[in-house]
Amino acid sequence: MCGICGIILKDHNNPNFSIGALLYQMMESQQVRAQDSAGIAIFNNINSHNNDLFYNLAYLMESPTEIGEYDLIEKKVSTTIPSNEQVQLISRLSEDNRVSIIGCEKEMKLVKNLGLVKDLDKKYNIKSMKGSHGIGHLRIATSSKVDPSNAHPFSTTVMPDIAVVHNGEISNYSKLRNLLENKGYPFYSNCDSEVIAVFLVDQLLKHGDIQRAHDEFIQKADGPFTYIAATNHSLSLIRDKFGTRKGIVGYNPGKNGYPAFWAMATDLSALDIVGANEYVKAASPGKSIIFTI
Amino acid sequence: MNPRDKFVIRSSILELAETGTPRNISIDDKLRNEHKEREIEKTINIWDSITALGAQLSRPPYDPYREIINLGISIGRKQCLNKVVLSMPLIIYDNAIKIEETSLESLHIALDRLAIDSNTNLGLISENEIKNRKFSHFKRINKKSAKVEDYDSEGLVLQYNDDKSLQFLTDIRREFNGPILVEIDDDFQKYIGPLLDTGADGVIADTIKITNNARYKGKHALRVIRDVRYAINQYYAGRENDGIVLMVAGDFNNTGRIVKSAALGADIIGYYTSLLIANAANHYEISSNIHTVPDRICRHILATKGELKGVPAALGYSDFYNLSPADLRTSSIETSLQADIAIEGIDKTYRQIIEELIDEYASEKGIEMNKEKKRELVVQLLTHR
Amino acid sequence: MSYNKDILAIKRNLLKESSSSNLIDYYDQSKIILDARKAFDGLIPYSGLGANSTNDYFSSIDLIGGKLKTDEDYSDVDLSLEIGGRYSNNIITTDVPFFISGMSYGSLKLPAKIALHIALNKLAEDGIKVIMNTGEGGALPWEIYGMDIENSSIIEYTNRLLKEHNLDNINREQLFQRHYPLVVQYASGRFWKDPNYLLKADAIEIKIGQGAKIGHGGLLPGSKVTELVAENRGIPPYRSAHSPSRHLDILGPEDLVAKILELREVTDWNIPIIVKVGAARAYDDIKIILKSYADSASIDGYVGGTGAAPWEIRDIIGINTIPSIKMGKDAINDYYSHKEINEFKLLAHGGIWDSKRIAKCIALGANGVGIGTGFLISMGCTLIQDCYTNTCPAGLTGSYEKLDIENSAKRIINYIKGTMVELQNIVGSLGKKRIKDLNKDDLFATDELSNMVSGLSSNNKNYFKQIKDKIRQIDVHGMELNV
Repeated sequence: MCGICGIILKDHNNPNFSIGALLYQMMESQQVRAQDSAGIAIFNNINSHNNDLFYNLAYLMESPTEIGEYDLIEKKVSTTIPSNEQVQLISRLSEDNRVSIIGCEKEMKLVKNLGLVKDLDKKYNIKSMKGSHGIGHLRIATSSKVDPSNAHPFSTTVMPDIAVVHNGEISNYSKLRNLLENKGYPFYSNCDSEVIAVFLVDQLLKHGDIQRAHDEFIQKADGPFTYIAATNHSLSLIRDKFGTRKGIVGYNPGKNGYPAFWAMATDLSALDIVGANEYVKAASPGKSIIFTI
Repeated sequence: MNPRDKFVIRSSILELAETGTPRNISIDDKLRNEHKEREIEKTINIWDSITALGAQLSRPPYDPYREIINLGISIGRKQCLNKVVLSMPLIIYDNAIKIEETSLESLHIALDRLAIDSNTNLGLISENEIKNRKFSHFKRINKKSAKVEDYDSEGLVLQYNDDKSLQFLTDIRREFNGPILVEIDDDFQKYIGPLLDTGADGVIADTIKITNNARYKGKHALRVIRDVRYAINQYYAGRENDGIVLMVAGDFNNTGRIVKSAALGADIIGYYTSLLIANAANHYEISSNIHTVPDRICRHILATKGELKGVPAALGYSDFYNLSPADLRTSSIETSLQADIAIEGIDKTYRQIIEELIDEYASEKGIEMNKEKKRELVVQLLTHR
Repeated sequence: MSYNKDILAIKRNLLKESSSSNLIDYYDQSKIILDARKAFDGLIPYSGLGANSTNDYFSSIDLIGGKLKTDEDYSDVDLSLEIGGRYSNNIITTDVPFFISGMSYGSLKLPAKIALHIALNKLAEDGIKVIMNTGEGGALPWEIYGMDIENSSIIEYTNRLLKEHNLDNINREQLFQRHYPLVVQYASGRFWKDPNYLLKADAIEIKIGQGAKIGHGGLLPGSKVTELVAENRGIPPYRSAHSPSRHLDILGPEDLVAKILELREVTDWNIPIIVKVGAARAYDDIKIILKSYADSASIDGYVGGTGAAPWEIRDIIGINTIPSIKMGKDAINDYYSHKEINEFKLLAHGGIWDSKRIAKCIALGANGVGIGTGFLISMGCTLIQDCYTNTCPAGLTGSYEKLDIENSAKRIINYIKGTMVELQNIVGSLGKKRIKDLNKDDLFATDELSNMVSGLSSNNKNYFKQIKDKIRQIDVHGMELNV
């Protein structure tokens, strides 16, 4: 149960804009909600142009020198799925308890860390990260432990470039996870939110329609939740069928020297701080708001 | 807590309240002495030793007055064209008991009334022909009498006896578009795959019959549910579950047991005993009256429906079928072993605890323990408990 | 709502018969009655008091030594308990580590509430302060105001209250004073209209849930919502009062933080705030409470009592008091892994009835315990569990029988004083000076399961060690094991 935010530029061919700085502001204004961990995922399609055949497998490795610190490691792997090399690497990593696997990245850059968003910026300089859209998350743990593997955003190793941040609780997590695990999907954390990413991937592999994937999830999932999901072509905000958690969207037409963008967050204050206070509306319960590129 | 324990507790507190001076013996010691004296073995009822984790802060509960709690379930897999939708996870199961004619009539009237007045569709398994019904009838058939005109019900129920049953299922599957439920015996692990391949829409496990057979002698109904569910999951490993239902029948005569078995993997419960009790409830009324008995059954079912909505809501679910074994805890080792339920306070099953202790032992001694040996150790420790 | 007289009669007879030699399996009989009740009125059956736990571990965990009765004088043993100080300016102190847990006016009848009030006042005069929790239904006028009260409508309401129970001749001066600390409950029903309810309290308890009906809101059956009860709560009379199953504005940890900060501001950060949860995912819940601005957490076990709860919810949901204390304590230790814990207090409820059980809970890690049923029994409760029907044979929860207030108050005083002496004897005979010094080393478990769920692992009778010995035996001597 946390603070989430997302942002997408209206002109998505402007990948040189530091979207990380905007996300940082939005996250900081919601910091009061949660202080356990912070994380962001930013999408920039320039990253992928040069290497179509490879993508990165990202994971966090416990630092051998400093206790409680984690190093981000990105390993290049081939896109021909499933390559043996990749399967072996992942199984080796998932057995290593010093490692928390983040996911596969092509256009996406995902970083997460324990502590405040300030600490995250100090470590990864998120304010300078450029891209067309991105999401951010601040966590206050409800059930699973406070460690990097349970920090958001969540991604998967099944499909590159999907990230999910979630506020609330998927109460039938254990049932959904069992179903998906039975189908053969890997899970790397104990956090209920991971099931959203895996569920969406399962749906996307089946029919490729993000709207339908969200609708299916709303129908199958139980509990109070709002989540923001980002793929390389979309950014969406989804609320549960009873609308028990908050989730709002606003538009900045280009004020304060920013390019025009849409922003979404848990608290109104996060929209205000970046000037996204036009066409502000709450997502309807059980509905998704989707922006596509 | 039996009434005798209550008296012990009460008398002990009253002693204190009347004198205000220290007692000779505490409640716990007194209870212990009492049990020793009367040689009461600490027998634990497996059903009662299971409780569920309610929703509090880490998961907010739902409120049946504010949110809609779903109890409806659709029976029928992909290949089944005319699916049957029940409003509650209950099917009245005949349990091979010969029911008296008037009781049966009252039951039919009650189920009709529930469907019409209360919009509550329950299923009924019976081999009789039921005309002008408003509820879903699952007709019990066997090989010999199967003719196309016999399929006048919403669903069919057949018994698995041997390999010929599969052929029979294939035959009726071709002619019948509604859901077909197959009743299994204790040998289910062998044939559940072919059965589902052939097109069964659901399996019925009569836990009383199964636990009477050699393979499940001394085991609890919960063990049967767990095993059948496990076998079904195995069948679906690596593919999409297309909506198979597991119906269990047996001693599920109250909401607590319905909820617990649903959490362990049952989708539908065969229900009967409580209705008989409801039927005979007003003992001062000597002959059961054809007009009042259906009323009582209806009221009983509606109250049960309320409870079945209340419990998932209190556990934080808006859908009854989201209950899972992770929601259950037990206060008995025996239960934990039988049904793989985590023990309260530690959140691990007894088997997991033993496995961890073996790992701990191995790492303390610096022994490499292979999986084979570890499994053998676990078995030894669990059997010589 | 009234049930068939027959059904009540059957239940009472069952209890009578059971005192004779042939004991009836009460539980199964009552399930049959349950079915009959459903068929009778088509409503969800309720019941009173707590669940019938199959195994509450209390009798399989014992203190190593500790006598209730001794020849020596241990009256200097310190039993005191302080709550607050973690974020609040004030600290409430009591002289005993147990208190009267929340039983509201409405669920208890007026005479029983007055008896408790008078008893605690008298004890305070003797120098023994005991905390009282108001329960969900709001406070009574004399719990909040003194004799100097000027508000005429409250005086008039008091007159009507007393008149209803023929208590006109009660000594007003004696009634309108309060010398004990009062904890008011802030529950999802928000049954209060007087702002002084919060402002004049000594502590606030935010009730998320209770052990008897975890995940279900408070419940007062219509038959007990008399006009005066309804007026006190601000609800329509003779209709069942269902509180929402959750605080409609608390859905998660950050909402709890917001709510606590709101209450802190209303009370100028003065009074302690306690958060009460039913025992389920105790570790996670206590972790969340630790992260919010609360001073203390209260946990209510499966056996915890109630005035009315849906029967099946009471029996299906919750975990026992002992494992919940263990989980709560684990959460606190993990949170404060490097710090000294003295300000955050863990309070336990549910099935704790006498000094031995109090001592066991405190040794396991609770700081204080709440007792409800124990006080009812001292006032004459027969454990018949009809609290939901307004037909209490002891006159505690229903108005058919008259309760002798003076005698009841005397019994409550005896119960508290007796328990106090017993506790002092237990602690003293264990060679300790303060009850706070009790710890896990003073306990042992007599069976494997109790050892596991209570987390007792430091003494000889440790079953983990025994299992490991067994593993070694099998490992060394091969698979042939004779046990």
